[in-house]
Amino acid sequence: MSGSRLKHHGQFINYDKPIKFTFDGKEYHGFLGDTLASAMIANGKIILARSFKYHRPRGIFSAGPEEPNALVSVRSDGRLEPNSPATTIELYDGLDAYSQNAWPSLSFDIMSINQVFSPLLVAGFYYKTFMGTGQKFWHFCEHFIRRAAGMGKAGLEADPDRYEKSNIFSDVLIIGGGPAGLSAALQAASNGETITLVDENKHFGGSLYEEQGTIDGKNSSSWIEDTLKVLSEYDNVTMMTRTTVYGYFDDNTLGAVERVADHKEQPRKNEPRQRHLKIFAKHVIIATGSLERPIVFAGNDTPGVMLANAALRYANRYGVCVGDNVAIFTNNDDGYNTAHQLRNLGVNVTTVIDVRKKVDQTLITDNNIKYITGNVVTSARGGKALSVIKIAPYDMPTKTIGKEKKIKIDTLLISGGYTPTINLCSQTGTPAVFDNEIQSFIPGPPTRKWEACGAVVGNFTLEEIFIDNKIKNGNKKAIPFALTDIPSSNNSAKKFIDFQHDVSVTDLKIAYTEGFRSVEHLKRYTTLGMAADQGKTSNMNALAIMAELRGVTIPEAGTTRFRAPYKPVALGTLAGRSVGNNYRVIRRTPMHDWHLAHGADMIEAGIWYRPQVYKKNGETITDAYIREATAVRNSVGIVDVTSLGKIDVQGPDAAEFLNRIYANAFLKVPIGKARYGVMLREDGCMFDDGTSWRLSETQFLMTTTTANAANVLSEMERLLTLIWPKLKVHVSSISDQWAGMAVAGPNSRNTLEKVIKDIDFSEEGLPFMGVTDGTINAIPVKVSRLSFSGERAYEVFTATHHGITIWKNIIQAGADFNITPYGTEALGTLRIEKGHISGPELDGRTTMSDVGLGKMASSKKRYVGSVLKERIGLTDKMRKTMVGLISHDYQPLKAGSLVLEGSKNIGHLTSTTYSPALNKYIALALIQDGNTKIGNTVTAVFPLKNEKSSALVVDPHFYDKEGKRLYV
Amino acid sequence: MSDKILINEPHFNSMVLIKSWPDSSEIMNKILEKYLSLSQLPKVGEFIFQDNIYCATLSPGHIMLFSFRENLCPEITKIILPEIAAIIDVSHSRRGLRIQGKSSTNLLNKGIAINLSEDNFPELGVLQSSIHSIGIILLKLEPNNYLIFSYRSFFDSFYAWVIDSAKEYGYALS
Repeated sequence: MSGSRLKHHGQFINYDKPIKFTFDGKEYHGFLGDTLASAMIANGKIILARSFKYHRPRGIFSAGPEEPNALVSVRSDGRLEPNSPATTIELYDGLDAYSQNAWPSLSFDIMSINQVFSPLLVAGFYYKTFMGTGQKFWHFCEHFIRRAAGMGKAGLEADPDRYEKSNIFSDVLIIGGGPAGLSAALQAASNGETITLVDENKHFGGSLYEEQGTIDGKNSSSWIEDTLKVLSEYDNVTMMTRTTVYGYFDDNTLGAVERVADHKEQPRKNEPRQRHLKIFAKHVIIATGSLERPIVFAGNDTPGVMLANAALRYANRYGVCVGDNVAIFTNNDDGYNTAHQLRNLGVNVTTVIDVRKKVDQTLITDNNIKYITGNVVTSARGGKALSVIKIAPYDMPTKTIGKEKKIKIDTLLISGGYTPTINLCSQTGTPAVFDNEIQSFIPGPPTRKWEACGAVVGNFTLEEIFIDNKIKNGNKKAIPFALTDIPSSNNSAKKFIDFQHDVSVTDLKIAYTEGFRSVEHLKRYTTLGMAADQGKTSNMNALAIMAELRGVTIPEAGTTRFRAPYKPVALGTLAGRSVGNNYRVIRRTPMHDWHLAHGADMIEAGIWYRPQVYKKNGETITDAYIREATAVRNSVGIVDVTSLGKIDVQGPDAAEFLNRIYANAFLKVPIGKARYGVMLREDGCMFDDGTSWRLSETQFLMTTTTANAANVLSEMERLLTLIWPKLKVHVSSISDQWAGMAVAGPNSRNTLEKVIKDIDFSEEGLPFMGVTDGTINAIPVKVSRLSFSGERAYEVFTATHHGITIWKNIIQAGADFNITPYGTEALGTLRIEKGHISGPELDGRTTMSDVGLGKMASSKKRYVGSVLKERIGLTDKMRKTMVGLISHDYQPLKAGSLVLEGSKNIGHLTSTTYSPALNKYIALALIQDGNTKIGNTVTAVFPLKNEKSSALVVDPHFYDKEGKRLYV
Repeated sequence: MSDKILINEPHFNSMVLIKSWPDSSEIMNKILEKYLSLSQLPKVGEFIFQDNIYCATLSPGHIMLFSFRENLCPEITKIILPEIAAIIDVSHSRRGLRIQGKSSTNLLNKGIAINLSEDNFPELGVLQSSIHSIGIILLKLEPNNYLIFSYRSFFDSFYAWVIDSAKEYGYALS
């Protein structure tokens, strides 16, 4: 096979725009409109890849998305995209493409030695070789197997291009812009419904470009042009090329990929490379056409063997000749049509070999072609380029061949009929039905709002598609003569069915012999049809061979259900813009900018951004949090607690509701008081904790942990909707309504007294857990006397809009006391010193008793989790309970470290810090039967860094256990 | 056809969420109808603009009021007692963004998986959905003219999404 440019000008080629590109680093030339495959054939190169398993040289086999062989990598660095069919890559100036699966080069691939071992590398190789040999042997071999097998390699750098997502809504979605799709669009356009017409190719028209007949007196090209012009004038019609519908999901929702800029070296600024489309269609018309079917014979993967229709497309569309001496092997009339068209375009077709003995004599029209009927191609040979084929008479009833004869050619085109592209129909769950005439499966009756038309239902001719139009001289229908694999005198030659996964007839026979009869088992055991091409060219032949092996008909053998995606979808397309800074949304508090302006290192807490520490003068994080925590203990600090979940609980039954969801009593919380509460899950483990402030007889303001706010609200809604629908309670998120700040430390009262004049801050006026309203410079605030730090402290809530104003006012008021803003690190230090629990202790496995809150749980009422918290597993004496640890050797303890008693693992560290109050490294830990271990020495082990520390087990309340500091 | 999209942030001084009890929704409706001088509250999924108040029915018995007026919540609290409905002041919870222009529907449908075309979602419609994982309430004021409310803490992210998405399509923002 030695390709070249024809004198005939390809319909898609712009000869005024030459293009330079490289393949494996070598420069080649093509034209605008070429695909990589057409340009490479024109440059005389047909081998673009090696096969998956045996590393056999493989030539370009098709001209479309069904290509099983010519998979290449395009672009480089972050833009590298492996496993792209060269037949669908549009050429552009500067395109860099690379072969795959070959080393050191495509022409000399050391791994082609695999062919020597091919008798071992058959179906079930992994099961047969590695089962029972032990994991060590497998791991030893895995390294080499992974290097030897596989396709292209993914790039390691981040893709700099933009990928997007969008939604499309359409009354009618037409998939496929060939004759059937365009015809359907014309009919539907005038109805006024919104129509979306998509085609995966650059051009609408599909098979019409190779159609010789006329439609309404126009040749096919003119008809396409006129039809597109008409459709473009409809406002209700949207036409999209380069758009592949890859999946048909529930409720007429379809997934598609629009290749917006794949045909450019780089997308324009802000232009996505690809766009993922979710299409919601009321009605879908599937006009996905058909794909030519190969014929299975010995050596059918020799470079130079190609689908006949592909050769015609290269000649007609791209002006490319696939070879100098071309033969066609067919089992249907379409092979003749292809031969004659190719000759008219200037391709030297010398021979047509037809398996059928009796052929319509009107097909035999060209004296320059030798027509050989009743014969088959028994083998093709040539190594890296086809040089000779053997043909022989074929007796269909006995499936035997006569005497073989050699014919020297460089290109063999095969035409085994057409297989409807039923993938999307199959994805809807509709079983396929076998059409005996075309020897293939077509879609069964639709189970959803879709219909199929055109070649996908076996209507291959224009007469069948355009029933109301006047078609003249249309192409004849390809009605194939049923074939399975063709016998050969060379028993060692491989007959491939699935080129992309190197599955041969031998593999099928082995699978059958070993008892794999169902097509589903056959598929999985041999991996047939499981490559990136989803078996587009292999499935029908495989089914026919399997049916023959079983002695049943093809419909009796059945077919597998196709699954999405019809074509591979890049991970970048699925990710869309959810990468980098856009990976997820960010929640900011109203004080966000202030924090940044004052040196805060921000940290994600859930999706909130919170200050971790405010660094000063070259401080480390540790320096900063120690300074901040010390300031709180000694004077006053302020921390942004806006991110706390806040839920409005309102209604006549609000108190009753809280009483049922909290483990402790809530019925009698007085108005103007807050209460700390713990929620359990139904299984008795702790769910969340927080305070609820009673604002009126019927209204509470509940706070939750930052991370759990949405879960708590969701659970409350579930309970009210499903479990207690008669309770008159509504819950609403008001997290964004309130900005919150905690003012903590012995000077917190002094600070607030300076700025809030209308609140009595005395012990009587605002006692511990008291809640009241006041104002700061006429701005309303809600003040609650709560403490997470163990110091006298107040939480000040104000409307979010006023958050920054109030924050600044309090900072100003605290200036005399050297008020210190503190972040989450100091917040953690202060609460660990006090032995207060937080997220690390609320890990979904702990009970109230585990963390020392068991006595809080009411025994006088029923509440969520009250029954199951008493089950044996949760009351076991040996459960892990919370203790404190103090590092013996003044070494930091690492959260997550294992706690060993001797060599026995008895628990783990949950939270750690340096305690400025104790001047020691401390931690909270959950250890087995922890209460009895107070005073013992344990070892904290951090295996990831091979670190060990000795620690003393102590009461988890390291600091001010009596709570006297709350009243300082 | 212009691809210009106009965006601006109207400042609403009051937003009130009103949730009735199952047995009191009719009473609540009557009170609100009287308060707003309406013969009938909007149906579920619709809103009306009356007396400088956008009144939207989000779901059965759930009404949301948006207004440029101040102190709407105290007014509502006076006329609707806790026995009739829960009144939640969310005036500071959300920020609104008005998006208008011929391509605004296309822009929004990029993020909202609900058909915003006139046939499916006519003007004076309201819906709750999400854009880029951000919960929103969307009011369709007229064709290609929307008022969208997101939670305040998400607003910067939401605004960034609008700007970024407009760039993708090459729409000019002003």
